[in-house]
Amino acid sequence: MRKAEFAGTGKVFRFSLQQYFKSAATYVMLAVMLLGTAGSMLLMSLGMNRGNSIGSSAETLYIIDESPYEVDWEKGLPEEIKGVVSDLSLEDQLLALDAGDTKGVAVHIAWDGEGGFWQVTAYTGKSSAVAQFEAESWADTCAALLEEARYSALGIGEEQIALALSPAVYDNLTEAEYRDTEETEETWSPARQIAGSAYAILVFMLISFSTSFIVRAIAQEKSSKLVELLMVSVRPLALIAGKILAAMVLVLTGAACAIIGLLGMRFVLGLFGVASFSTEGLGAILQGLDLVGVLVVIVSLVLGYVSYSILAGISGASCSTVTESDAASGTTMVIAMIGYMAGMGTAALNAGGVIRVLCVIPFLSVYIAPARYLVGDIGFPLLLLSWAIQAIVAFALAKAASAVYGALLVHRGERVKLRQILSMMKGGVRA
Amino acid sequence: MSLTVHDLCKKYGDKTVVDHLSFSMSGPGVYALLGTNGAGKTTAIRMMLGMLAKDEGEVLWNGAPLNLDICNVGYLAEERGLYPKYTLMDQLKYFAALRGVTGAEAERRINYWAQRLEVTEYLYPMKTTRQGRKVPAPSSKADQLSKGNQQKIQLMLALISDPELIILDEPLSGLDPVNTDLFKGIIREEIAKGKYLIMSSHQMATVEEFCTDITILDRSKTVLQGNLNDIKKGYGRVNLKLKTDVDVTEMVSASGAQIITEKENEYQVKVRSEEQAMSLLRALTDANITVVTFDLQEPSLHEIFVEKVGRGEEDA
Repeated sequence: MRKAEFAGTGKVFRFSLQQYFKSAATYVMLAVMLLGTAGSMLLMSLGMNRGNSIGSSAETLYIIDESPYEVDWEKGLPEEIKGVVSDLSLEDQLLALDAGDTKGVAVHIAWDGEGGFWQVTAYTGKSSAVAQFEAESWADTCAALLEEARYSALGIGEEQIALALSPAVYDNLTEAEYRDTEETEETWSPARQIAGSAYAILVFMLISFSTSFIVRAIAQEKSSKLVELLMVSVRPLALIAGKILAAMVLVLTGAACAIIGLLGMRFVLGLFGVASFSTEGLGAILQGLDLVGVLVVIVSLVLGYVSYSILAGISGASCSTVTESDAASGTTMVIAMIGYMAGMGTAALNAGGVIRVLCVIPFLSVYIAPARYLVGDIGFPLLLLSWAIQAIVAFALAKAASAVYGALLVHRGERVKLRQILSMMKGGVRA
Repeated sequence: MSLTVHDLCKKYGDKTVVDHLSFSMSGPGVYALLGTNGAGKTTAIRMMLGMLAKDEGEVLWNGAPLNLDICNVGYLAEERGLYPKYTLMDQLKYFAALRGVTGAEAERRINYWAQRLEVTEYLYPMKTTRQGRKVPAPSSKADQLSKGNQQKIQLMLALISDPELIILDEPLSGLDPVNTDLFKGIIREEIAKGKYLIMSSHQMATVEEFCTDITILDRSKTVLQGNLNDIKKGYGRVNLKLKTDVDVTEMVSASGAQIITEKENEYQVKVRSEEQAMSLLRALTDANITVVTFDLQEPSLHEIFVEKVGRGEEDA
C-alpha cells in the first residue's frame, strides 16, 4: 500500500460529497435526524414531567405532619428548598396548591393503621410545575428525616442512628466473581450502564448508517458501469477512500443535526421553563467529556469507522447491482451488531476481566473501551492498547483491500463470495 | 513514443483467458485487437491498464512500464455507463479534474466537445422564465439522454484529457449511421493528431478503415498478427469480381474457381491464386466473351477473421 494509491482521494471525496448535498434525499434525512431527536427530547421531557405543562424545581415543601416526632424540617431539608410546617389540613393544602402555587409540594405524613407504618406522600397541585419524580424524591427525603426523628425520640445518638440507618444490601456471587469484585471494589451502577449503553447506541448508529451508505454508494457506482473509466484516472483505493470519507462527513452531519435537535429542543424547553430529559449516565458521559474526553471519543470513533468502512467497501465492491447491496452489507452489520450487543450486554458490568478482554478485541473494543475509559473503569494504557490493535487491524484490512478492490470493481456477475475474495487477496490484483 | 505489450498472460484457475499476447506500436496509428466474444480482448485491455493483475508479461510505454500517472490514457470501456442521477456537467468536470484538467481549461474542452459531438442542448440547456426570458438551466441528467447521446458523453469522458494513448473498446457498437460517421470523423481527427489508438471491434469494415496493424485472438490465443496490408498480401488476390455479357458459369467452374454469388452474369468468385484467375480470363477472351469487369482483390478482413477464428461472428 503506497501513498500513490491514494492520489485523487480528495477529488473523489469532493465529488461524492457534492452529489450527496445536491440530493433532496440527503436533506430529508438530515431533517428527520434534526426533527426526530428534537421530537424525542420533547416527548421524553413531557413524559418525564408526566403531563405537567411546565416544569422546574420545587421551591416550598408544605409539610402536614401527623406524627408525634419532633422533626427539625428547616434544618433537615437542603438549602434549595424551603420547608414549611403547614397548619392546614391535607384537603385545604391541596386546594391552596391548586389555587396557583406551581412550585409547592405538599408532603403528608400519616400513620397507616392497616399496614402498621408511617406513610409519607407527596402531592402537587393541578397546575404544578414540579415533576412527579422530583416530588417523590422530596417525599423520600422527608421519610428519611422522620426515620431519624423516630430513633432520636428513643434517645439514640447521631452516630448510632447513622449506623442503624445504613442499608444492608445483598448480592449473590460465584467465587470467580467474588475475586473479580475484590479487585475492582465496584459493583453495578446505573450511571455506568446508561453511559455504556448510550455510547454503544451512538457507535452502532454511526456505523450502521455509514456502512449502509458506503455499500450502496459503491454498488451504485459499479452498476453505473463507470468504474473502468474511473480506474484509468484514479486508483481503486482512492476511489473507495474518497467515498468512505464523504459518507463519514454525511453521517457526522447527520449526527450533528441530531445533537442540534437535542440541544435545540432542550433550549426551547428551557425558555418555557420545562425540565428537559436527562439521566445520570448521560451526565456521567458529559462530565467526562473535557478536551481529552472528546479526543478519546474522536480517535476511537475514527478507528472504528475506518475499520468498519473498509469492510463495507469490500462488501459494496463485491456487488454487481444495487439490489445486492442489502445482502452484501450483512457481514459488516453482523460484526457491528455483535459489537453493539457486547457494548450493551456488558454496560452494567464493572471493570472486570471480561471488560478488559473486550477492550482489546478489534471491532468490539470501539463500542466499549472509550466509554469505560471515560467513566474511569480502565486506564489509559489499556485504551492505548485497544487503539493500537484496532489500528493494526484497520491497516491490515486496508492492505488486503488494496489487493482486491480493483478486481472486485471490474467484476461482473454474481456477488463475489468471501472465499473468492480471499483467493483474490492471495493472487493480488494491480500490476 | 512506443507501446509494447510483451507476453501478457492471465489465468482464472485452470482457464487461460489471455495466452502470451504480444504486440507493439512503434508510431502513432490504430492497432486493432480482434476476436470473438470471450477471446480475451477486454481482459488484455484491463491488464494493460492495470485494472487486473498480470500473471505474466509487461506493458511498456516508451520502454518503461505503463504508468497511468505519467501516460495520459483515454479509455472508452466496452461496458459503458454514466451516473444516472448526476448532471452531465458535474460528471464531465469530475472526470476532467481526475485527469488533472480543471477550471477554465476544463470548461473550454467541455464546450468544444459538446459542439463537436452535437450535445450542447443537453450540456447547456436554456429554460424560459415566467417573464419569457431565456436563462441557462442545469445540464441534463444522464437518464434523460438516449443511448446514442449517452455514448457521446462517454466518448467525451474518454477524450477530455486530450490523451496520448486512446483505447476504444467497441467504440461504434449501438450507434446509428449518422452517429457512426460522427465517431469515425473524431477517430480520424485523433489519428491525424498523432495519437496512439488501440481499438477492439467486431465491425471488420470499421477496423479495415482505420487500422494499420491487427491481432486476432481466438479463445485466448493469438491466431493472426501483423500489418493488415502484409497479411492481405500474404493471402494474395483471391477475390474475383467478374461481369460478362453472357452466362459463363460453366467456364468458371471448369477453371476450378468457386462461384460465391451470381446475379445476371455478375459473379463473386473465389480463386486459389492469381494464376488461376488469369487463366480464367484468357479462357474467356479466347472464347470471345466480352468481359465487362475483371477485378481481382485481396480478401477482406472479415473473410480473414472468419477463416482464422473458424466460425462466424455470431455475437457481432
